[in-house]
Amino acid sequence: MGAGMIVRRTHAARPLEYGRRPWMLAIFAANFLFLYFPIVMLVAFSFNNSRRNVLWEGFTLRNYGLAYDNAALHEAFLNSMIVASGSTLVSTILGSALGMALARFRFPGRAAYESWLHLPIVIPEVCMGIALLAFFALLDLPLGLMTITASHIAFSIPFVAVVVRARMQGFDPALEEASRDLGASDWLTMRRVVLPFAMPGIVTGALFAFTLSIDDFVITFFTSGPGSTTLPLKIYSMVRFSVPPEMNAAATVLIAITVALVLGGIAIQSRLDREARR
Amino acid sequence: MSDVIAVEGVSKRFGADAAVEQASFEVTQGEFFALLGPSGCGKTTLLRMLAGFETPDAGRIIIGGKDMTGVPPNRRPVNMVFQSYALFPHMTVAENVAYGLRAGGMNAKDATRHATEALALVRLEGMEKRRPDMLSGGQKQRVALARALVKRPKVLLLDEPLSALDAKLRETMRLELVRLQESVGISFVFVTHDQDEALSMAGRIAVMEKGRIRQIANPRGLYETPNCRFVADFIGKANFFGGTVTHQGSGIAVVNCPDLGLLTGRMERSVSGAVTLMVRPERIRLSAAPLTDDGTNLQGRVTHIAYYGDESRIVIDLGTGRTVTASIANDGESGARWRVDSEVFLSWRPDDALILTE
Repeated sequence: MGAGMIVRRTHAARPLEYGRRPWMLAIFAANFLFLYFPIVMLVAFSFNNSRRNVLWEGFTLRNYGLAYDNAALHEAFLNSMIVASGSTLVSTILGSALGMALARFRFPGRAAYESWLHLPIVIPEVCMGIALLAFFALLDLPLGLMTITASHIAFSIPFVAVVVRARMQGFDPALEEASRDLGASDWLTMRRVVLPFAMPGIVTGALFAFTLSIDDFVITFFTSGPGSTTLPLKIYSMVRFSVPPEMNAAATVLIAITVALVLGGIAIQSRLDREARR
Repeated sequence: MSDVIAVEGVSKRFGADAAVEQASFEVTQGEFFALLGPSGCGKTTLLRMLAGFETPDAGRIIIGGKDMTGVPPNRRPVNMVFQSYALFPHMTVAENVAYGLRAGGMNAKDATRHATEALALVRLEGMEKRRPDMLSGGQKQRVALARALVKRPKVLLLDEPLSALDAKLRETMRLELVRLQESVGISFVFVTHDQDEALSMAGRIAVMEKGRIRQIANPRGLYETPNCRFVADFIGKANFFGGTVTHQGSGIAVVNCPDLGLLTGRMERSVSGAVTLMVRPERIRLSAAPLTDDGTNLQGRVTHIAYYGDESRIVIDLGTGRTVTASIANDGESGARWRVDSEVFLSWRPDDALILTE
């Protein structure tokens, strides 16, 4: 009966079809601008040939040279890499084990344990920073790269565990039984059956841990000591009064590293995912 | 022939629930043995105890002459085909099949050769490089079979292996499994809730109810001589009449059934007191006039006819609120004789009914 009408009419705009509604498109554009304009400006001004770095005065690569020659920046970058690699390694191992245990075992107090696990994700970073500082003071540990790394491990574990647990939720326990039934030991089963399945989750978790660690400021600020300045702390201390253009260059390099890592991680993950699902 | 499996008084509880109680049976070399029962009867738990995934609370499990009660699954000479097939998704078909051989320490070259042979056995030549998710349900099933058989187990355990397949394929796979079992000569222990599957494939069947094995017999024995009402009801269709024994002799008993009078049936052993008389629908003869022989004669009215193609099931009201189901073959002669509301006489010979005491 209404067939003719339906044929002539195109479908109504669905709730999230922002392209079809001008005001939604405007909000979308505003969001995009708000999110990315500062980053675009930062990158653009890293090529600015001006000491005061307020007005565009011409293209140069000189700032990159200045940043490269800055020994303090070098040291901070090295510190950041040490902390990020160490905390990623440890938190990935511990978090993966935790995520697998949570996905697989039923044990008393599991629900409570899971809630506690999420606590570091939800509590304000500043609280966690104070808590860790108090803890290290209580143990009389000297603040330095060790304490920063330990703190980063502490806040990265839950993220890794959550990602790995989500992955393992899709694991058929019969696969493990099949492996055992075919004569494989627990260890071989873990290595040949469980880990390959978990790998995309573990890679994502490690990536999470690394990016969280490399740009963490608040917790690092509380737990760092003399000689253990990381890149975010160093950049902050350098820009307190003015923003020298080599800072733009250093930040651009940091962005490039992070983006490259994320893209690399996504590529690895999608390849593993394809293999696991194929 | 020697027994490859002997289960001796095995029991298993999960919390307060008894999953398996006092189960005992033997499986002989080269036998196709089925564990049959409704869901939750403990048949899968029993199979998992054979595989080693569950440990019995009591009793012993002897496989190949050795007590395997507490031995972990990776050190038992049995292999299992899982209900979900449980193929390793990140490995190729060939890697899946070679997995068990590699785990057992065989070198890669020999393992690949054996895997290829096993795949040929289940007619999957040329599929070696595929991944499990590129296979159909029937092909996955075959890979699972090859992966278990390549280990040359003493016994192959199959957990509802056909339940995930569609009806047509299931029929084909039944024949295929029987063919495979005969060609490899390995004992199969097969769990199913589908009586047709068990009857058409197994040499012997153990029928389970609420954790207990009620009867172990070959298909014909189970169908024609069930030892209790549960088995009679579970295997095929049956009509039951309760009553008390009035006479017995030479394998025949007469049962006095309230409001139906005297009914006769054969007995397996001497009976007395309250019993149940069981008649299969296809053993009931329908006629327009009473038949005069030594069997049971009853009279009723047709209330419903269900047409199944090869046969029709006719529901007959015996006038006392009690109904009986008879089935007749749709062979072109008897099929169209009865109509709803027809008056009908039904009868059976004493040998066609069975007296049950449980």
